[in-house]
Amino acid sequence: MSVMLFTDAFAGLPETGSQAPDFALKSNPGINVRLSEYRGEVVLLTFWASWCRSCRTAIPKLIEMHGANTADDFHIVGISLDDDRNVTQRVSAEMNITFPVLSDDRHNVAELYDLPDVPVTLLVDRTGTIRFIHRGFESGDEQLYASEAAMLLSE
Amino acid sequence: MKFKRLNTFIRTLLTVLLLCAAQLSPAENMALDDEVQTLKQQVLNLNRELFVLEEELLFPANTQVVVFVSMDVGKYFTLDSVELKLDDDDVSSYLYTPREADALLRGGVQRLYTGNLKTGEHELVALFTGKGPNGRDYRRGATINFEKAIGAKFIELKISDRDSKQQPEFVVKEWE
Repeated sequence: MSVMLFTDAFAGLPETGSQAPDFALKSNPGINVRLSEYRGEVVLLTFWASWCRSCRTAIPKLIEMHGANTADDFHIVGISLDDDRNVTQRVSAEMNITFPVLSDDRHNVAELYDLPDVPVTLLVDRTGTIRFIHRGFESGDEQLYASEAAMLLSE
Repeated sequence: MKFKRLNTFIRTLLTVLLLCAAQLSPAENMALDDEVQTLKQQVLNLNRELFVLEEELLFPANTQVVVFVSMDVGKYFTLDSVELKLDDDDVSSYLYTPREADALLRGGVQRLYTGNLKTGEHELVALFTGKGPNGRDYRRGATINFEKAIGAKFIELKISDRDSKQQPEFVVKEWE
């Protein structure tokens, strides 16, 4: 269950085991966030958009996961591909998203990651390496994310 | 690309060495550990040399132009982003995290852009955005026309406070 985002422009995603391409984007409160500043910690990156139905199913599960997280060194970061930053802000508020949401309104990061569709969720380990990649979302996937995150946190 | 291949090779080599180490006596293990450390150091040195070589090849000294960003004080300005235009071409755009902006305030100098330019007249435009006095959104440009001669050109974008006007000041400085 995923929504095709781009056709010819993006061929695929980075491979697991490769370094997560670094980027900086503006977050909802207006603070700039750079991925490499999470080095030494585990990050779940989720690419989503307000018009994507699967994303709207995934987000509440990720909010629950974020609420249940007690580890200081685990972060969930959302990256919205909505063209308008105001839409990202409004939808994030409507959905009560508690984790940071970054706006990729120019799709620079989507291009950097060769994103073929949304939602896409990546788990990045302490060394900045992409360890797990998930395309689409189905109910129950959040448990898989949690177990993968726990594995990365134990390393 | 070559760094990636080198890393893969080193990882494989280290894995093989570790597998071998599992079957060795403690003394042999120590010796092997020393060898691994030496090998790691050599790889780091090689990586650095490759990086320098790559820079020299991509940006030869006679065409090289480098733009730096620095900040002094920052009482009237909180840096959010800088966009650079060289001869009307967008060449760089950088978003600053609070940690990066803080590093600049502590005296850090950032190499924002490295590129090549032919000799002659050129124009550099830098657009700074951030929060100005009283926390208001602030966007200001600074332009410099410079002559590129043979030899590397270094340009510094310096953000400082102008206390007399209670405003930030954006200065573009050339270094030969």
